[in-house]
Amino acid sequence: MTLVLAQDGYGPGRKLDAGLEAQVLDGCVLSPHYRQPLRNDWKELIQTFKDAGLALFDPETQLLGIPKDRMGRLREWPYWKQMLDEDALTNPLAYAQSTQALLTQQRDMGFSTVVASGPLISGWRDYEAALLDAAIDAAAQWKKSHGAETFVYVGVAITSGTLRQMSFSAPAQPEVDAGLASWLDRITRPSRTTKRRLDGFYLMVDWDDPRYELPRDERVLANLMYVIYTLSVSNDMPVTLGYTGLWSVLAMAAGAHAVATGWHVGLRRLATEKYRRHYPDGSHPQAPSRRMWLQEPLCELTQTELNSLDVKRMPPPPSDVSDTVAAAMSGRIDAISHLSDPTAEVLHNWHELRALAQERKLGVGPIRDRLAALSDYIDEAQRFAEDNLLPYGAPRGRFMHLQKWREALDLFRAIAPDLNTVDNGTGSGTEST
Amino acid sequence: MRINRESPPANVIAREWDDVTDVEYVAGGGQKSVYRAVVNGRDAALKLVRVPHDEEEGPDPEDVLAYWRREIRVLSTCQADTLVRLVDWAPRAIVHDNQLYVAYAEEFIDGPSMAEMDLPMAPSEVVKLGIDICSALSALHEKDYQHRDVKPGNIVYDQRYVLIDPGIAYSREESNITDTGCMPPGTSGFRSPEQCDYWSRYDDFDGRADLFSLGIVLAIGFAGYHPYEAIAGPHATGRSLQAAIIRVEWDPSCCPDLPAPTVPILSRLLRRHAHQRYRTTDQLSTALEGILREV
Repeated sequence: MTLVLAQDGYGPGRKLDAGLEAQVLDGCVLSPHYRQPLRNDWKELIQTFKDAGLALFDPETQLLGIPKDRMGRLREWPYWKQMLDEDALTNPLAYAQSTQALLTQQRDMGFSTVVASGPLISGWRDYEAALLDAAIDAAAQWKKSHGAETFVYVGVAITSGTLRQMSFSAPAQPEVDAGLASWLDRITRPSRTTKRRLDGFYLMVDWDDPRYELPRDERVLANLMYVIYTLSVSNDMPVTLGYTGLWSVLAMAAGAHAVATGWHVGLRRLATEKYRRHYPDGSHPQAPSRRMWLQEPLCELTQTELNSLDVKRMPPPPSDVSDTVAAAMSGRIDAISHLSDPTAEVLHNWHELRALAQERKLGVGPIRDRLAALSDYIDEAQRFAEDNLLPYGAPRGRFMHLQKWREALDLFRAIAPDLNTVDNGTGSGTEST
Repeated sequence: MRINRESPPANVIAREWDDVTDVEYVAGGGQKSVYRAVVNGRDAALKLVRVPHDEEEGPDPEDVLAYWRREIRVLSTCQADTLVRLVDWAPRAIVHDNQLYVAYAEEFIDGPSMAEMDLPMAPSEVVKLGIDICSALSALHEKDYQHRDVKPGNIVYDQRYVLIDPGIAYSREESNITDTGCMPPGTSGFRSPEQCDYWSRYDDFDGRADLFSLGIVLAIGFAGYHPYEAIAGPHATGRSLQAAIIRVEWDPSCCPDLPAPTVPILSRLLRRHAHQRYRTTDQLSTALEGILREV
């Protein structure tokens, strides 16, 4: 099941209002960063999504350790204060106790799904892993003693730097980097306490280096898909995805699509091949890759190039795109978008697309039309900004999201090449791959 | 002081304990001797563990006693039809020839071990073995113990397949017990890659390590040879097989004799990274039940 959630409480924006107004949201993520604790204005939201939807509290524990002047109102929250006062970052026992306090606080606020989360895992460090273990065990214990009716998600945060790591020791097959593998081994570990008690993962990706953007780095995307696949399919747990930076819901759909169809395996092989180090003298068994230096974005890769790789495990492209999109969208992947500047129109398009897919009424044509409509919207918004806003001093950065949407759209088309086989001639302005 | 490494004679044991009769020596090795006996009127395997006088004479006596207590604790807390059970008999000690032994009694399983069976086994029989051992491992994993020594020699058939010898079963909660020094616990050729990871101090793993070992056992049952034999060579020793397990991702082409429906299951069991395997015994058991008809 794919859900569209909007985040509230982290910076200004009216995405939640716009989404609610258009009735296209399935839930919300409420963040404490700039909110006063224990205010009642969340109650209505929580209640709105309590029965049909998902309301999550993002504890933002991945920010533990940041400088005080960037903490916003976080220090005012009791669980956060407890974590800082007890120096929980160096003490798993204290971290576990703070986690239990955090869960109780979420339940008292009215959340039916509560999140226990560890610190940011920027690589592989023992103390971070120990704290995550403590949080997971504490969450399982808490559910046993307090929350039979409450769903408990484990919030895990990973940096894009970690997601960028790939192992090239075995070029014949896409290898998982040792750090990423250890991280996955750890968070999927079944134990007596966690085996049956935890209900899902809330996966946060922290884009710690803006030079490597999601659509422009196959390694990050391939590993992200791998993580989603491992958590959702292999471990049979629902995954909710969050971003601390802006990427679009279409990119998430692309990820879900690729996971559902198995194309993520092919993408891993592609990324392995592209980023594998070659000897300058050409002594490597395979010729040096020109692409390694060019860093072409994924959306510029054609299906022919994908097919030219000898990908043994890459499943054939699906014959019926409606089946695969339906599978992707009704699968176990919950997509969440922290849209920094969304509009009801975009959300509405997405919502309809998903509804059609779920009803399995969607063929190639309607998907293409919908994507074209999104593309048209982006063009129109871009034109409007160029003609009416920028000349009067509006900062260009305010409209950067349009470019992100464009890239995400291209990414989706690159990963779902069935959509590119026929030029629909809508004049969307997007170059067909 | 003279070191006595010989097991106490059967008649000494029968004389020492009134509730033990018909004692017959079966086997011995390391610190342990096994006798077949009638204990409290029930056929049992009586196990005596020799406790060294000091560290110079063998393993640390405290460790030996800790292992003895742990094995009893594991068997008394983890129960399944397919996991060997304790006999209702209070564990006790005996001194023979100036040597201390501690003892406990398990049910005696009168059947051959998988290591003594003709290989390859009938595929359906291997699937049943897998399901039975899943049930035994489930009982252990439920209490957060890992068996750590799943191998053909520790699987015995008596109307059903029974997992025996949880002597090195382990729980992270009890990690204060010293392990076997520089060697990772378990049997070479059957340990999972993470079991051999020195940097994790040989203890940073979970039940998925047992599933890897079970994967090797199942592959042996299906194909008749070790799944890493094609990589390590036909005359491979346990150590070279273990080296292959650590270094190489297993590929089904190494075992062309596997029945087709079993390949996806074994491929998933024998992955080098734990997160790529089945997460629980329940998942594996369900997968095996799914192919029972096909094989």
